[in-house]
Amino acid sequence: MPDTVKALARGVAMIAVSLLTAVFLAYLIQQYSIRILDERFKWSNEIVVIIWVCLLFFWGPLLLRKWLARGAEFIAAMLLAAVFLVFLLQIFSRYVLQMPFGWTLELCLILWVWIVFFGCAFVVRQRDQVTFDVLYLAVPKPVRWVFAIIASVSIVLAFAWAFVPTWDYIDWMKMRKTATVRNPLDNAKIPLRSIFMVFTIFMLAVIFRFIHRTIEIVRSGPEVDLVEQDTAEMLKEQEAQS
Amino acid sequence: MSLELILFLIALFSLAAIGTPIGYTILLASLVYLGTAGLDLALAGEKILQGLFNSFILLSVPLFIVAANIMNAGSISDRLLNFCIAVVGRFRGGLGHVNVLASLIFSGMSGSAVADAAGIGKIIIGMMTKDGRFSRGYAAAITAASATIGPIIPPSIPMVLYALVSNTSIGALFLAGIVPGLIMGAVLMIMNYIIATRRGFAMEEPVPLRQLPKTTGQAFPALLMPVILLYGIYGGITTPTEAAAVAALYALLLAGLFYRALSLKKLYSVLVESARASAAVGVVIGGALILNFIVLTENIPAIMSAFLTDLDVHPLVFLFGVNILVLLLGCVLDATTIILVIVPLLIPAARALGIDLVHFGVLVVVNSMIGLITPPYGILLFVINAVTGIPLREIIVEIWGFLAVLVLALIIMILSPGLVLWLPRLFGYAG
Repeated sequence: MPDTVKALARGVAMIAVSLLTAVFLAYLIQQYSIRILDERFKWSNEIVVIIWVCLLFFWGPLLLRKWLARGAEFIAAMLLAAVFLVFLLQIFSRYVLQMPFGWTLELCLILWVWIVFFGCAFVVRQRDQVTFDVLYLAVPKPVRWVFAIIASVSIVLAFAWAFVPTWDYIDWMKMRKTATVRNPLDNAKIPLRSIFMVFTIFMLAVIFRFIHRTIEIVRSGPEVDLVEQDTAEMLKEQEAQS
Repeated sequence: MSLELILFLIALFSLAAIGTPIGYTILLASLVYLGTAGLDLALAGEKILQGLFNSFILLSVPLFIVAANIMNAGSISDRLLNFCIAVVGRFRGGLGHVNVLASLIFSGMSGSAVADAAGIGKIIIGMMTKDGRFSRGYAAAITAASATIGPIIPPSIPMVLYALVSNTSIGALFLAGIVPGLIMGAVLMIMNYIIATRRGFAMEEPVPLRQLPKTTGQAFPALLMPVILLYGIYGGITTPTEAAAVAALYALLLAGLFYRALSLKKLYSVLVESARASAAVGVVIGGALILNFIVLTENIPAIMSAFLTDLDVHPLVFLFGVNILVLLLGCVLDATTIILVIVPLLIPAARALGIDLVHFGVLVVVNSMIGLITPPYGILLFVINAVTGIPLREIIVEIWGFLAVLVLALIIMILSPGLVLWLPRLFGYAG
């Protein structure tokens, strides 16, 4: 019991600390944009959320091990459950109440976009990815090592290259708003920027993750094959389940 | 072919070859394309986001994944197996037939070959190898072969993906899968009967016929799933996406309340696993959306049709060529990648030759499923090897016969579009 309390306290502390850090970083970015770039980033709320989520679910698990990774899994599972329930609600409204709610379909699509990118950022493990590994598995270990480094470095470079233009596009999407879904707090339509910001979270998380992975691969040297380790881990988990 | 397209293809194939995740590979390669063509890099993100946000069809993918995982976790397999043993266990090669029949029925619920092989397949292999009635390799091989039927009989995630890239009706595709699925089941059973007779495999103790109503009753609700799905779509009651939600709900009620085989904890892990799988597939689908954009920007459909008109190739020759290509690719690529990345390049040509796109879709899906059991890179072989520990070598020795009859079934389907399209036409598909 004390263990659970301790873990819970650590989780709450992590959430609070990362939120404070995110607010602080967002403030710095805003000051930088006003004073040096001479143009104001007007989406500070989203910037806070983006940084916060990245800190929480990327750095969190590195510090606290499994706890926050479980948290990300929980959120993804709940998003999926929500898609399911909202869809059932839609069917109910159309066929039983005979008057469709209208907002249900758009809400499902919003949730689906979040499942894909939040999921890929924090829940999908390397071994869950769809990959073509025939050649990779056929070459000797030192070559695999080089392959793995090239793959992760190119992902980091490409995502970093596309980050600013993509950010601009998503920022611009504040002009467009949802058609039917409204924010329950102020009953206003939601700008697509707030929905699509999950893509910037995804890009940041992928950049961080593959920087981390590159360091891991380089550090462990050509003799350790991370893909083989992943597979061994998966088999162990499967055995533990059955 | 423009320089940026060549660079795009080089980046795509070299990154994919060294084991970069496919979804990210397409994103990276498309950035190379956009960068060298002097286009806005944000187009990649835009195409993915807008595509995922505007496609209602795609919502059925996570829902079908949930339905499949619930069915698999809810251990309804026992009832189904009892039913299958009662029906076909009495014939020569008994459990082999049970295996095929169970796959036929189970695929009507899960729509996933891997779920089929890892779930119900594992149980049947256990039964078949007990007392040494069947050799381990044979049991594993027939399980792998019959699991390929999974995504042919509706519901089927690969067919949803094909509908996305080809703009064909999901409903028509689902209906078109039924006859081919039954044909595949039939050829596998015939093959099993022949081998069983020659090697003298044991028969099961015949289950008395008067027990049949009881076992049928127990399995009946599970048997109803495909019927409900198809009736929902064709009765005009639900859209295919809503049918996916209904399927998931039905699976949940069946496993949770009726069979009482699904605890809350299990349901939670089903949701986590489904979210993981949906996200991993989602990013590849996103990649396919950018790929589609590039195909259109490069005007590939027009080039393809001009090329084919010049070449004056007969549609059948084209179909055989494509099928050999897909069969070869299937040895090294998985079905999702083939359907989302390779097939969009072939669809314009098929359309130009006047090939029916529903017929084409069924052929591609059947073919990429056969790829799942083709050595050396058959994913189903690996899955069965991982869950049962039967050595790959033993499975591969036994798989060739089944592979041959499945290819034979595929050739029949290529030659007779009328057979594949018979059911969809019956329900008003104009093609």
